[in-house]
Amino acid sequence: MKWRDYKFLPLLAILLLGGLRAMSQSPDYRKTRILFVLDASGSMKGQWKNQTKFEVAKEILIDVLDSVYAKNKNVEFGLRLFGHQSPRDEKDCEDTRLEIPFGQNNLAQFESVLSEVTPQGQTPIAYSLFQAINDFPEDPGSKNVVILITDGLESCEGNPCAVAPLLSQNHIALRPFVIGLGLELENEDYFDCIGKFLNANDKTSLENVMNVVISQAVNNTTAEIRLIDAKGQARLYNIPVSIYNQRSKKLEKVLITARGYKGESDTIYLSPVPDYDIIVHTTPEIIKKGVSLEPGRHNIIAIDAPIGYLQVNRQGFRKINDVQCVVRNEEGKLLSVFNINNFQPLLQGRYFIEILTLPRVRKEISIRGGENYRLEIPAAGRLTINSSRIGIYSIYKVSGGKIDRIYENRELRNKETLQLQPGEYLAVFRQYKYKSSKLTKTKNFSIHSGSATSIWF
Amino acid sequence: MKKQIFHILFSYFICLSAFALAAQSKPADKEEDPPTYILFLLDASQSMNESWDGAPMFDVARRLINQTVRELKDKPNMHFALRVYGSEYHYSVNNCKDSKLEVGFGPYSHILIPSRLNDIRPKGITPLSYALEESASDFPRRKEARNIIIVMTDGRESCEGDPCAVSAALQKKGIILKPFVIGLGYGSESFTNLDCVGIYYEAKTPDEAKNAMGDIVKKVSDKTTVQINLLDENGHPSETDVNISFISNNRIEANYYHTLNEKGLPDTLEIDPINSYTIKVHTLPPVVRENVSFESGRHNEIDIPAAQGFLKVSMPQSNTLYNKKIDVLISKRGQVYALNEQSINSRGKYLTGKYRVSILTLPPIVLDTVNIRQNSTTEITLPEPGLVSIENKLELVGGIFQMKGNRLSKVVDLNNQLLKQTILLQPGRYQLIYRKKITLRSEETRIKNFEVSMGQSIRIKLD
Repeated sequence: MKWRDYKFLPLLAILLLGGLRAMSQSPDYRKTRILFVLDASGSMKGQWKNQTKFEVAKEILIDVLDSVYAKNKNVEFGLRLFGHQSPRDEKDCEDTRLEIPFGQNNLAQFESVLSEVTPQGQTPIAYSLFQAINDFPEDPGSKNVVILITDGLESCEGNPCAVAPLLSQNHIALRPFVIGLGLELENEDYFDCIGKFLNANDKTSLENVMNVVISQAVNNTTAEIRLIDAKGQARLYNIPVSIYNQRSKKLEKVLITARGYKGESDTIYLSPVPDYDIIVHTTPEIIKKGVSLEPGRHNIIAIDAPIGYLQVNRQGFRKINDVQCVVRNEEGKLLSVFNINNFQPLLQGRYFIEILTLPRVRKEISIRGGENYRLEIPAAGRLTINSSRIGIYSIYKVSGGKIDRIYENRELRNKETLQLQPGEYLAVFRQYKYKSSKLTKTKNFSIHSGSATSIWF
Repeated sequence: MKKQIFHILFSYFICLSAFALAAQSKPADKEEDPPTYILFLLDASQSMNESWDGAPMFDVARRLINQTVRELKDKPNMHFALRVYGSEYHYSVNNCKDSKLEVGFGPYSHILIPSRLNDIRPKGITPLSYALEESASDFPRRKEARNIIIVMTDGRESCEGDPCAVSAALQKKGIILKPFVIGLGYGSESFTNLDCVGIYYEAKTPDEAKNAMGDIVKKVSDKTTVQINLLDENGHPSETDVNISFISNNRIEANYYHTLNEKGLPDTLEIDPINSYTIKVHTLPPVVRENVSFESGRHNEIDIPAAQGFLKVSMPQSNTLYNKKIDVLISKRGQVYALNEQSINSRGKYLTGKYRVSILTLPPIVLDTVNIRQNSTTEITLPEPGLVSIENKLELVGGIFQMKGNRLSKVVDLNNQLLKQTILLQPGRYQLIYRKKITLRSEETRIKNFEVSMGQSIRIKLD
């Protein structure tokens, strides 16, 4: 990097980080279109207190439309029903219809359609979702949302999970919401592949759930987390980020950073009400506290994450690559353990690494953002210690008058094989049977990369 | 005549080798004393002719050497040689290379030395450094030998050399032990620079020279024994089975695995008392004593506190899939790097005290204060991990996380190139946070909760 490029870095950092309330940017949706995909299968006749589930759903939908239309001129609702046209025993797996297209003044239409319908048929969820794709008009300025309300699981052959990806590819921006009506799921994450699942067991809880869903769907505050690399560019993808409500400490959102569609940014939806603490799950973690969003806008949250890479290679046989490398900080806190011959991303900074070879290799290193730190250690050699008697032995790294114990086996029987890094060593042995320290035997030996050494006691 | 000597020598040689063979074939229960090579390095400079309490100083020195040889010659494995300086050239010539090995090491040197000494007439200067340097090659190259130089001089270096540096270099190379130096005459000041050559004796009178030589003889010949008491916390010498290194002049002179004899007492070590030692007891962490010297001809007891206890991290490993080694790192508190590494289910021995123990399971378990107590095993028992296999149709990015307090903490990254991966995890609740690698939106991130229980395998299939 030239000096010229550095010059603007601080300025950029101030712009991006100085106030985390950042400038508003596209995409600014002009409109939100919400499609209800409502279950009208036979089971919706089931009773909640003294009303059918379908009647409860109808009342609540009407309330929602009433209140949203009163405040928000940019929201349109549509309604698709399924299971309402053919009786159950006809097994009509294509029984779905867009009953009310998107529009602003369709509250009365909702009331009349929902009053006339009799729930009766099957639950073709996959097919209905597939049809729903075409219910949205072609409009890049629209944020399209699907809310599926059902009291049952797919009753036809369809695979809702297979349809879900098609939804997101067709400008249906938000993950669909799935509202279960008294749905006892054997498998909690049955609907995870489609979208966010919320269950309601009575009218009150359905009201609550609906309010949550609608406020998330209508809310047009968006955000974008930009992880800034050492070159000042927001090109760090595939990094997990978790977002917490600063006051309640609750985990609000988890995401793995992505590139976003071409020409668009990677937009996420966050309520503008709370302040957030954000953790970027790099090694070590980056913690950004007290991030607030400006409502009704696109907020860029820029976080500096100058990541560099540590690569530890041991020459020779790749086979022995389950040797681990331990990364610690100055306080000795364990930050990461990884197998050598891999890349380990680390934030720019000073680290103390210890490679668990024999003897252990220690090194203090400085990682610079955007750069690779390569550490080569020589291949090990093989040592075989043989003894005809049971004894205690230890191995020392020696140089001059320095002697440091690197290994001890308190009960050597017959023989033992070790992988040692090349160097000069001393082995000290004493058998157990005879009680005299004068029977201590020593052997000096050297280890060379890739070759075998044997010693006998 | 010559032939006869040859015969005698030859048969002697045969005897020797036969003896050596016999000694070898017998189990080496009793170690032989290491051979001792003593080189007398005698000043024969002009000033040695001066009278010292009635006799020429050279005669005093000569008689002392003869007496010493007589005294030591019958001790086992003693060898002698004589080198002089200043005997060949008159001092007016100022020859700085005037030094000669008069009698080399050999079977008859104890006879040859007195007779050679009778013939030498002091006349030259004092090229002490040169003489010292030359003496290095006088010794036979035997690794286990004790090579000793006894310097007798009445003056300091008269040439350019630095005898101290020469002596230090020879000691460092392991050619000689620390030399003995006897300064003859009254010149206390003039000898000050000889302190550093070796163990220095200032002899103002012939009697003092005699005493000095007596002390040297004692140091060279008397058995000096050492007993190292490794004390437990009650001050009892009960700790044992640890190697102890004796280091002198940057050389590792000896290693002994500490042993309690049949009576349960620390056994006796034979240590050359000429040197002072750094003693390193290879406990974890090691205990080091600097500058330990022994009184020669006596039994020396050295007390070193080394109370120890054991640490064991145990974990059931019933499933053969767990044959991956799990390391346990033990560090002294406040230190970044590990003191030792041991594997799970094995016992390590440490000095008593507090340690930080890091167990490299997934997630790693770090215990900041683990107390090792004397004679007991501190055991940390971990539940058996479970095996999680994750199968996915498309490559994923993300990782496995765990809630710590209210916050997510990463346990391990997913391998973003595999469609199937298996990971050993300690029992607990986890979050798998992932996104298909090809997706372009972070809103596509998914969370999958799962629980790992002891010794169980679970399979997570993702579409």
